[in-house]
Amino acid sequence: MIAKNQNSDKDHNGKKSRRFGLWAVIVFVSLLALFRPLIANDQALIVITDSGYEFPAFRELPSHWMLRSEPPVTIPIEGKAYFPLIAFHPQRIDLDQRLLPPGAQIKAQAKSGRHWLGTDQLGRDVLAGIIHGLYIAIIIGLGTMLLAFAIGIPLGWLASWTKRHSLSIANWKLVPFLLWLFSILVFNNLVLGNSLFTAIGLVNSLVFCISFFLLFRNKSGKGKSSSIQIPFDRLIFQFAAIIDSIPGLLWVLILGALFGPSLSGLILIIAWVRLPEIIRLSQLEADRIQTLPWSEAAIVAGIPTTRIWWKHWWPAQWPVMQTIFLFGVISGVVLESTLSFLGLGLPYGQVSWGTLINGARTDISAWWLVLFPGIMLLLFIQGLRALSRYLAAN
Amino acid sequence: MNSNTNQNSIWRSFVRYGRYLAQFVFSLFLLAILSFFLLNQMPGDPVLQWSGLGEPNQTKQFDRRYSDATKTLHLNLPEFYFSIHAKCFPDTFYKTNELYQQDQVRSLLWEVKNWPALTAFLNAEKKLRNGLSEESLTQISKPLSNIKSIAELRKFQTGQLREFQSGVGAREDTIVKTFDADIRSILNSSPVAGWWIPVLCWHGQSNQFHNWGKELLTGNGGVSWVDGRAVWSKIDNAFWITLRLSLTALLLSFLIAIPIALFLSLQKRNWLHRLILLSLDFVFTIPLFWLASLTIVFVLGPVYFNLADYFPSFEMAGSASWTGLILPWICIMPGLIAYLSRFLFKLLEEEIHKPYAQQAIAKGLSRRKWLSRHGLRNAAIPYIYTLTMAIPAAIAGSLVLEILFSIPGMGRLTFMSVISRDWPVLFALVMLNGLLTLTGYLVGNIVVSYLDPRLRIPESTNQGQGL
Amino acid sequence: MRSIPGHISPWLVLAVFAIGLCFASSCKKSAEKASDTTLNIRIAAEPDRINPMLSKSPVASQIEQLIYYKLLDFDRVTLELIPMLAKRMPTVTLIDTGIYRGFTAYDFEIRVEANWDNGSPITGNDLLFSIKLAMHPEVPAGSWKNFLEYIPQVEVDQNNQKKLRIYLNKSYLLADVIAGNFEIYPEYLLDPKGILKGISYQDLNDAAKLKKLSADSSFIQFGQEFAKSGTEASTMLGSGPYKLDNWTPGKELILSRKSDWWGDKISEKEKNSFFTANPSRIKYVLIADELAALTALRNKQIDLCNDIEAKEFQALQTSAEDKNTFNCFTAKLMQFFFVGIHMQKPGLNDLHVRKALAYAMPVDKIIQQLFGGYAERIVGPIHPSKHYYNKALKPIPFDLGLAKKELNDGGWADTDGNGIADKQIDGKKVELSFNLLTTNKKLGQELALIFKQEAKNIGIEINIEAIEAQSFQKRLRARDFDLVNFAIKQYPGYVDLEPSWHSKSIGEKGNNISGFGDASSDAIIDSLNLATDTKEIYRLYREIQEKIYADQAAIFLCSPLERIALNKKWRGEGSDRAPGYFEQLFTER
Repeated sequence: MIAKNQNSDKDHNGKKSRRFGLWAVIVFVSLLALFRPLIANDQALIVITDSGYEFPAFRELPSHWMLRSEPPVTIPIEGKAYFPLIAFHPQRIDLDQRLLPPGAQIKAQAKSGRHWLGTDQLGRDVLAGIIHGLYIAIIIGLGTMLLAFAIGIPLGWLASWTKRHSLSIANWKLVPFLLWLFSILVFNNLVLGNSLFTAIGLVNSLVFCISFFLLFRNKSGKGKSSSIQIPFDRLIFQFAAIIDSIPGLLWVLILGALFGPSLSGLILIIAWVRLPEIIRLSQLEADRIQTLPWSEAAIVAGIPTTRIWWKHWWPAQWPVMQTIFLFGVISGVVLESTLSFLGLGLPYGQVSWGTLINGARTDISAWWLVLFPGIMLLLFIQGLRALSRYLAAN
Repeated sequence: MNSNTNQNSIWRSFVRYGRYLAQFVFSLFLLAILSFFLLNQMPGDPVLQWSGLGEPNQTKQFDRRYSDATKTLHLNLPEFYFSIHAKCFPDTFYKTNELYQQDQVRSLLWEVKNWPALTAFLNAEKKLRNGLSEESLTQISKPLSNIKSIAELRKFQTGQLREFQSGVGAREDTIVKTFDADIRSILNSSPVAGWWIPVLCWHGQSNQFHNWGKELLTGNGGVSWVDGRAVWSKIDNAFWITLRLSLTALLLSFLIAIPIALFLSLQKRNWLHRLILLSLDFVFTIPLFWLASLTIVFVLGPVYFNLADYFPSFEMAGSASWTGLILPWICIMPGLIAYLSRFLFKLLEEEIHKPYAQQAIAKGLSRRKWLSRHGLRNAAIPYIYTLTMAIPAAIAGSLVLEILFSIPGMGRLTFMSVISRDWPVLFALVMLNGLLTLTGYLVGNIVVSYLDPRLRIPESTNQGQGL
Repeated sequence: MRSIPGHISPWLVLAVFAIGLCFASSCKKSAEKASDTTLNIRIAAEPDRINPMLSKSPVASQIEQLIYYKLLDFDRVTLELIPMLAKRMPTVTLIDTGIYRGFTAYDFEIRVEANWDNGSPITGNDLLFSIKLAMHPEVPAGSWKNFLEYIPQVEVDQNNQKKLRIYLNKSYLLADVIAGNFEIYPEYLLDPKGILKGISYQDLNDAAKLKKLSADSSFIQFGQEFAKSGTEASTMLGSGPYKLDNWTPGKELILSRKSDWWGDKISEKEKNSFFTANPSRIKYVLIADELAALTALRNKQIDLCNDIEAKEFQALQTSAEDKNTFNCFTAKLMQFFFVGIHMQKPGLNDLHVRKALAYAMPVDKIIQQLFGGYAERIVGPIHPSKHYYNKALKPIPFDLGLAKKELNDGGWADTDGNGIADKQIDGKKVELSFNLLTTNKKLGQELALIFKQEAKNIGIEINIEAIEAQSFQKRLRARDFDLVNFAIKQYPGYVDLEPSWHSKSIGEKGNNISGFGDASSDAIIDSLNLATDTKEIYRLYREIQEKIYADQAAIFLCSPLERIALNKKWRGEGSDRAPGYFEQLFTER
């Protein structure tokens, strides 16, 4: 008895310390990414002049968070200055320092510093670039998965729900929205050409929608059992199958050529590619939950459908979904860096892991451009996998 | 078993597979519509690209040549079997103007909402252009063709046109005056009654989609914008190279992965077992493009091993040789092996923990014997299913390798057609890839449901896993 | 009960595949060693087709110029226009009577020796046939069609079919280039049925008659067949010394020297560089990857490699082993880069701002670093290899101090502290914030990034828009940009400046993207296009360069140098004409 107790106590302690370690790593990585201007920057953290203190590096934070950080104009410093750990801005171009191998001492510059991991073909510091790339990777990973979840999970639920229940009239809060969306698409694309969300388009679709529902009300008003028979399950299933029939990379190539390279566009495209998987998995999960006794009981008890979805389905799915989320983040980041590597992802001016590795395509002897950002990418992947394993184990 | 039930079962399986087939055809049709829609949305003017005419309006005969080329490419046809448009649009809008002008006319029409009035104005504009001398036309031509809205037209009328009018001679002055009156009449025109009513218009078989589909199915798949070569002939060569690259890699990986999985399954759960599992897990996560870049930089690159002589590029090795494919295989196979062996191991583990297996082993059947007699066979079903799914995925995955090692396969063709905006080739590739994927699902579904009746699609719900 | 069919063992299938695989891989590799008499040339991309009327890729024209001869062409070394198929340069007559009044007539005579491969003479009819072919509505020969607008009529002398007269409807600086610029196709081979014979050149220019002709299905089909041609070796025969023997798509093209080429028969006195054709076989090997190309060069699988990366090129010249095996040379490519300025946009209409921008562009550093030193600085819209390039103009130095001074002189200063210089114009505040359009090619984006960073130092904000080529063209056409990264290719000889620098090309009928031009500069260009005296032409060219320079209508950057390595087995030199060498002249040591 006692031994067992001790054992579990130790176990508990181990868990606790592991959890602490995990959170520490997550916080550290997020801080690194969020406060990159304070860690890798060629602006001083503090400048002490006769008149007082100045904090040039802090000024860059808002633009960094908005992903619009550009190296500021360098002004000669008067007084004593303390520089960040890595005294280079990730996006500062310096043609005199291009393609320096790791550890190279920079030449004609007052402030001393080494390019610990070398520079790329425009003379940008690789170490600073890797840290900057971390923030880009996090934004892309989170952005794509949040978007894919926000659209995919409800669609999966809807499909699962309509497979078993026809959408009864009590649930039609959701239907107008979908029909409205549908009619916007029909009207704007077929009738109005490509002018989305014009006033005419909106009015038109509203009229269409309302008339549609008036028609429905007349029919369903007679009996309680009548219901709207829209085969959402099959529609959604077909929708996912269609996205799936074009491989992800091809989708990105097509849509990327259509919209041009940009960060937000890339997030949208990758989310679009992820969508069928999310729909299918959330539908499978919902199917599983629907067979559980409490699910049936909730329906019999007359709890509104949306409430069942949010209060019961979502918590029940969460353990599975968090793993899917993390894996989605991984594949999003890998896809992004593959594309940027091929020159089809992020614009060239935006430093990310993929664009850094891309530099070695023309300068094949610059091994450091391949090795270090790649290792960082691999660490990122392994870290997220470890996190998902840990979460699954608990 | 009597013949009646036998017949019945044949009929039922016919219905079952027929349903798979119907779904397959339907999905393919949807994919075709989607591809065609995307193809039409891509930037660029196919007529200009094909004909090599250069910029619009550089030469006098441009309009005539442009419409000749439009006809040759059958782009003067409606896009689809039917169209839905607002009532203020004419049914034949697709052929009333040259492609490069259609956007301008469309946006003007959305403001005027009166097609007869707009046509009158467009004719007046043509008359103006024909009437003016070349020198005076250059002054006014650019602002005139930049007008995209009524507000701009109004601004043009009060600004540039007045300015222009003051500088021309008597003959041209009258022309400009009539044109001014025409502008006024369109500014004062009122929308057609019920302009917003959606109208369905049936175009019939002679449409662009029908032609495109017919070309893909029976002809040469259209013509490349870049070199005018038949699309299918371009894809033909590339397809076999890719198939050789990816299919052999896939099969080789299977051959290596199966022993690994069997070994893992039979091996005691000790540190070695864990190490192998962990390293497989690690190898699986290495991004392909990075591994390939590393290989190129360190193995082929001049700084380190400099082994470029031993691993010639695909082109130099000759397309009949396999030496050009060794390095790509080395890059693609670790990930595949890791994935396939882990997957088979997982399947075997699941199988062995089932009660029947536990019972058999408890009764004294050795693990090895159980594996060879039951485990493998039962695990084979989902495993084959993965194989059919993996083929299109492997083809798509070879894109990065083909680009990096410059292998002229489908992936590189895809990439090059995106880079050079060769949309007809790209979308033929999309269709081919979609066909492969959908066929993979179809075959997978049929094979699996044939091998294992339990996994059949329940007929009541009509739901499959994948399609 | 139904048993699971165990006999269809998936493992068996796999095993069969594996055995098949082993068989396949044991097949002997057919490694071809380069045979000695063949000149092996690396090409980085495959030609789209071998048909000069229809092909679009630069590699195609490189190969076509060995297969198809024109009346006149530029000598590959001296870059002078010299007779090719024509016996001598044309005689020019200004017509002042009859229906062609005001036109200029060019009288050519095709060499007596010139014969097709079947022995029939090459005549004026073949040229007429070629241009009729280009005018066929089903043939997508856009650039020929555009040129042919200058040519209202071609007459073949009925007594001597080797003589022909080409009319040009305007007198023009480049008229002789246009008149002699058409590759001649063999009529006997392409049109044995004589479908185009009964149709005159004018008919093809006439919309009404063309409509009538289009009803004839054999006429239409003839055009469609030709529009598809050029991808197979057998059908494409020209009057040049080589013929396409074999084309393996994705691998190589092999040209072989015709054994009884008519050019060998002409007298030594008449011969010019186009009548030397030394290599008996030329093989163009497709190697897209640069590393693989260099390996192949060192392994002697190819003899010539162009477009070598600067660093590797230096390595080839320094290592002792390579120095003994390879002859490295550079060639000027008639191509240059500049940043176009939309001079009508607020801010950019100020000469001070344009000058400041020019001072902020570190051109020399870009040449040193991005081009590895293999580029030549330029100051105007004329390639430096031309005789009339204005050497007196000094390159604008990179000097942020001078740039700031220019802005100060123009009254631009950062009054609101946002880092961007501004100025009150007509009561409105104008900020120096511009967009810079560039294609999504790597070099363009790199240039843009460098420019952006330097311009920021003088208080000018540049927003880069990297867009794909089609949208780029569209934006350019609509003049929807402030600054634009631009590359231009020029031909040898004179350059027509009217489309890009005359004020009448500011509108849609031209490429004057900067909007440069006033009465005096227009007058120079106009008189240039009518000038005939060489000295006068040179003077006018220099004058217009000065004007463009003074007005800072664009920021001219540099012209890249092609880097070529040739195995010492072959003797040959570079040429300033693309692709940087003339393979016909190479001789074996």
